Amino acid sequence: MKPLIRTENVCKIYNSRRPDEFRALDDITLSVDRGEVVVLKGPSGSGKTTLLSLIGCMGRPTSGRIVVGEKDVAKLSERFLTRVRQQTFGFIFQQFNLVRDVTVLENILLPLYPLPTGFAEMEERGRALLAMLGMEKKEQMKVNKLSGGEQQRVAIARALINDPEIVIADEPTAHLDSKLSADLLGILEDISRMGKTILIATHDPLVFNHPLIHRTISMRDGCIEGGSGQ
Amino acid sequence: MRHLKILEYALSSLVRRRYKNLAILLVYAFTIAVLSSVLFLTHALKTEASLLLAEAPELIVQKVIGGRHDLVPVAYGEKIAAIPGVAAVLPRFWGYYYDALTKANYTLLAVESDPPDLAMVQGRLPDGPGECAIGAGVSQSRNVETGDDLILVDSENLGISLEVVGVFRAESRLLTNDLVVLGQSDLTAFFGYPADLATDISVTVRNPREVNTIAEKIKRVLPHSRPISRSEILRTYAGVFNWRSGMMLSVFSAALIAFCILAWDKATGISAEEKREIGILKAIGWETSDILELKFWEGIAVSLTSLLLGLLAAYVHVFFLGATVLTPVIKGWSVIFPTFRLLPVVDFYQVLVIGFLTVTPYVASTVVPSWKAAITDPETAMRG
Repeated sequence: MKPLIRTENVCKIYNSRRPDEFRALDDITLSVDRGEVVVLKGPSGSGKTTLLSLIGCMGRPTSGRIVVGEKDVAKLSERFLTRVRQQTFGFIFQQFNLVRDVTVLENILLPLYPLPTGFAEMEERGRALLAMLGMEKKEQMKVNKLSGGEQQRVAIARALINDPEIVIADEPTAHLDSKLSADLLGILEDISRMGKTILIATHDPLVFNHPLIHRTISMRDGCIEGGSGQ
Repeated sequence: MRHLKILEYALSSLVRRRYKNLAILLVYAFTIAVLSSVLFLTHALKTEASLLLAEAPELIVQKVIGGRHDLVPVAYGEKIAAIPGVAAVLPRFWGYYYDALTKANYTLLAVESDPPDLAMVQGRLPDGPGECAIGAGVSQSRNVETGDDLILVDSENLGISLEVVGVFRAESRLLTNDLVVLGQSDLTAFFGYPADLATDISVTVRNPREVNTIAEKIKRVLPHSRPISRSEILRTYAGVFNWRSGMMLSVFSAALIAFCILAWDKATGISAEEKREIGILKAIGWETSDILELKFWEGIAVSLTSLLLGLLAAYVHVFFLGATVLTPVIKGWSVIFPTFRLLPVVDFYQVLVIGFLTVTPYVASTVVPSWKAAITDPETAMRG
């Protein structure tokens, strides 16, 4: 079976050919199968977030290939890259990255605004996700009035609204206590059962030691420890 | 559907940043209101002048001695009437009267000197000594109506009482607002005019294209005369009002520059919060074009609302409040007329130009910086 995600010799260099040049990723090669739950672990600055953002089509590698499904996304134009991001990925960010002063429901529906989905269908899908995450009573609240755990659930609901194939979670437990972290892992388990492929960047042992995780890839200084993430 | 949803989100974004947007909206609307007021007022005054002159004689002959306007001998009329192409000649008796009581200027005109259209009169025109018909402005400033007495001080410093037999209610108040129409004998006695002298002579020409030729002939026959054609007066009015509105706009340009700086400031950078939001939207699947559309709707909503508010404020200021702020600058000496309400006339082309000159730069200054953020990687943009 072909892997769902494949990176080949991916490098990412910031401020190339300048005195402050920084090599964030160096020769990363890995693959992730469909339905797999993979953790990228490592200390801060090891390149986990950069790698996730390149796989999630939020940036381009300086060199190397990133293949998602059948497409080499590193070669796609900005427009097609956005389409791939829109149709394939759901993101759960470390800082939640919700739009302030907007209601819970509106935040969840944001990915659907530029799509031809009608308002009624959008709301139906949003409410179903809120019910799944136990947030149905808070749909009209402004997100900045919610607790960290609640904001995390809104971010998860927003990541799932487009029914993505791959869910990317960057340090999802960074701002949560251990109980909320355990709740989150429970939700990720549910998502995994839905057949989604999950990529998590974390340095939280609670996450990478969880039975939900199929595989852990260790990173340090922009490289995969042991040389391969195959 | 997609556009409608983005528009809905744009409006909700504006409401979210309501204080900032309200401040921009108010400054923007004020700028448009001042600009539009100057243009509305100038256009309305020019229209008033055209209306006024539409009924004026094609040619007026004055007498000038040493560059000073002097009374013209009635006998000039016969010489002018003898010029081929002249259809009619009418000596006119009128004069300006400064009313110290109301600090206003009135125009006194003899009823025999072809006063404005009779249909405009409420009551009747004077048909005997001691009677007068007055304009709405005079009626208002002196608080007199039909049946009351109007007391004016004549050339001998004596109070003269005239019974008001009619009040003008003209479509164009500029035309009759400051007017006091009385009998010719009353008027000549009032100003102390000698019996054989008139204020000027109006000349009707058979072929309007011949007006300038007739004027030249009059000048040749009567060297002390100064023939003035209707189009000359109209051009002078237009020139004066254009010059004044130009002066006003020059003064106002400081405010315009301030607004341009504001727009430029907006164009050269957006807040970290806005950048972050653009980054989030990109990350969750919005295309660059979707973000530009969102910002376009935001710009259109703010600028069109400001335009409408500004135009409305200018309309109310000019046509309902008498352009109180701009009147001293644009109308000049005519402010000592009894105050009058301008005829509401708006040039649609002018409104289009104002709209284009204000909406386009603002929308551009909203879309351009967002475009810069929208073409950045979502990850970089999200960091603000």
